[in-house]
Amino acid sequence: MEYSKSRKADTLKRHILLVEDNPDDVALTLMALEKSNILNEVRVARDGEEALQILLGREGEEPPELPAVVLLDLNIPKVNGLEVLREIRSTERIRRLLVVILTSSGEEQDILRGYDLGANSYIRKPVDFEKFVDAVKQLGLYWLVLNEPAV
Amino acid sequence: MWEPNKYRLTQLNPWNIVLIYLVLGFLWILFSDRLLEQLIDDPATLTQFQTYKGWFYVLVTSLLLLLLLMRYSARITHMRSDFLDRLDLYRSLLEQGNQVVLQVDDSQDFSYSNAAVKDILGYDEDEFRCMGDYESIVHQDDRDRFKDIRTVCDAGIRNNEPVKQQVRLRHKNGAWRWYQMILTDKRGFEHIDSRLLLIRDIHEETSMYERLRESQIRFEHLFQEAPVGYHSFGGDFTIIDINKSELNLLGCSREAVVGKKTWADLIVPDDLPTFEQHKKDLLEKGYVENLQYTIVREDGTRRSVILNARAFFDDQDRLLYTLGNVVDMTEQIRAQEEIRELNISLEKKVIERTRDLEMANRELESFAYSVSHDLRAPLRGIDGFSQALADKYAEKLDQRGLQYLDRVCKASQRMGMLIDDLLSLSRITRSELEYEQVDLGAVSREILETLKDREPDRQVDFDVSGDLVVTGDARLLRILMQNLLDNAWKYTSTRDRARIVVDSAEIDGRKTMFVRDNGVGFNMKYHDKLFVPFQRLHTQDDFPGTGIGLATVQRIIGRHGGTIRADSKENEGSVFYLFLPDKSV
Repeated sequence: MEYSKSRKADTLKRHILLVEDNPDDVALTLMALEKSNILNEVRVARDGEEALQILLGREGEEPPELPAVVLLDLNIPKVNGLEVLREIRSTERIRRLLVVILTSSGEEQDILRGYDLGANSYIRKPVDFEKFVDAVKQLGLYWLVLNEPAV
Repeated sequence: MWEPNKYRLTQLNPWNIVLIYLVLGFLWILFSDRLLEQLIDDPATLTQFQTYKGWFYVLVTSLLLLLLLMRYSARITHMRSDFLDRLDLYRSLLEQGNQVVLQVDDSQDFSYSNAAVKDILGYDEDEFRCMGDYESIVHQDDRDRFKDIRTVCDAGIRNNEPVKQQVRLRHKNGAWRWYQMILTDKRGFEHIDSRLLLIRDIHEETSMYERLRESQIRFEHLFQEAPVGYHSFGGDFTIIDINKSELNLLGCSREAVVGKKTWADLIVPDDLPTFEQHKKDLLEKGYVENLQYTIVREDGTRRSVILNARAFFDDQDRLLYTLGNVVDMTEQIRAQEEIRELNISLEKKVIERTRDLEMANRELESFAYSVSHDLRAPLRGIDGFSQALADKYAEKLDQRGLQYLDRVCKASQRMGMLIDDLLSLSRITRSELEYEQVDLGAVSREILETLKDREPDRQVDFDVSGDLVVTGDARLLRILMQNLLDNAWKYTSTRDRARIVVDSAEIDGRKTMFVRDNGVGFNMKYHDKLFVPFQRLHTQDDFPGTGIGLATVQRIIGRHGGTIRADSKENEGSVFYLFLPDKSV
């Protein structure tokens, strides 16, 4: 109990990794997080390669701190979202990381492949900003407060 | 046999008899008186004896005369009865015979005709004899031949060879029949005294002969001209007869093969062992069928043929001859080969096209993906930043500015909806159909309940009944019903008491489902625009929507091979009729 409590407190303090190349979407997501009173630090990766670098760190250096949750867009440059997810799930140290796919795509195949690769959740960004804010709020509440993470 | 001499009364000429009598009488008178004068001297006695002698002479000659006459008389009686017997025989032959017998005398008239004229030509004897113009009953084409007989007749009686002609005469019943006419001399006891015209009915034999000839000609024609090769082999398998078609097939003349070549000379060497086996089969079974050979034409080219043959044997089971037919299969085999090649190239083409199509499909999918992903992102930006502007800079904008911002948000949201609908429409076109039994009644009730839950204040009566079980893709059919019922729900929103009916009926002999509402309906003038994407018949203010719903419905129906049509009256309501073909699961 002690252990889990400390971890939950840890979750609220840990940063959120937002993998998103569109600066508008970055700004909107940040606005939505702010509106939802989620105060965790947000680190932004502009492409898949950068996201993996942040997560894995550089060789020879101490492994970086893990984010509380990764908000992953699918359509991103260099290494796309699904490949980033596959990489996360196949790397021992970070394979239990919480990954929420946050994307514009509602394509069935993207959803199916996302879950197949082990996404914890799949959220389609609504066009309506209010609905987006609502979605982000619930996302924060669930993954950062209610959910018991493994790492 | 007619023997006129038999009926001559004597071999001796009467003149001879009289001469003999005169000589004997003269000698008697000369010598008898002298003998008496020498024997008798007394004149009175002599006179008396001379009287006796006279009486004796008369007596002897009378006796002789009597003897002769009796002999003649007996002979005449015998001859007469014999003659009458023969006459009867000839008459009965004449009358009962199967030919007309006419006697032609010098005046060219018929002095006699037998009764057969009635049987054979249908005319009474007198009627025929008095006819006069005989040419009128002779067939036009045969008149020349008839004239030959007339010419002989007109030439008068003389020793002529019999004249025979075959002519068609008109029977009294009107039918033309073939007759044989024979004009021959009639011989009397001593010489030709008139002529006989014999007429025999030869119609049956002639027409039988004609028919036989005709059938022979037909057979010959068929044999020669049939598009199939026909031939006959003798007991040693040498060709004894062959028709034109087969000669054409072989490319050689009749003289080159008949009596000279066997089948073995015509086929490729590879087929020789097969031919030996086929010969055995033919002799054993009496027939062979569908034998495949390759023959070599005289010009060296080859042809593929099929041979059928039948064998005919004598009493000792020795082969007399065979009859065979040969069909040239070269073209057919070539055509088959061509078809096979065409099929292969067609298959290749199909594979190519399928690849092209798959590529186009992939492009379409990536387009849809980018629409879904890339077009929505800027929209979210427009909406999000407008919202942020309204939130954070509200005090710096006046009322109108805030209104504009609201409009920007609404427009971007609407565009988002349009994009979503467009995507779902394209997804309907792309997805594979999975057929199963779907109860559209249950689906409809579920959808209507959801609609009612969403707007509990509205008064809407549902009536979902009838046979609504169909075969189709459950997911697509649900989308279909959702769209139809959404519309019904939407367009009855102005009614105090809305009514939505889902039912089925037999229309034009097939089960048809329909969805009926008492909503605002539409003008049938715009019926054609109803199912076109983004075409709307009502303003956004009256009834919001993207205009994609019925297009989706029609596409789903179309993918199932069904049809949809609508019927409506403005302000009274609409009915949508759906027909889905029966597809077994």
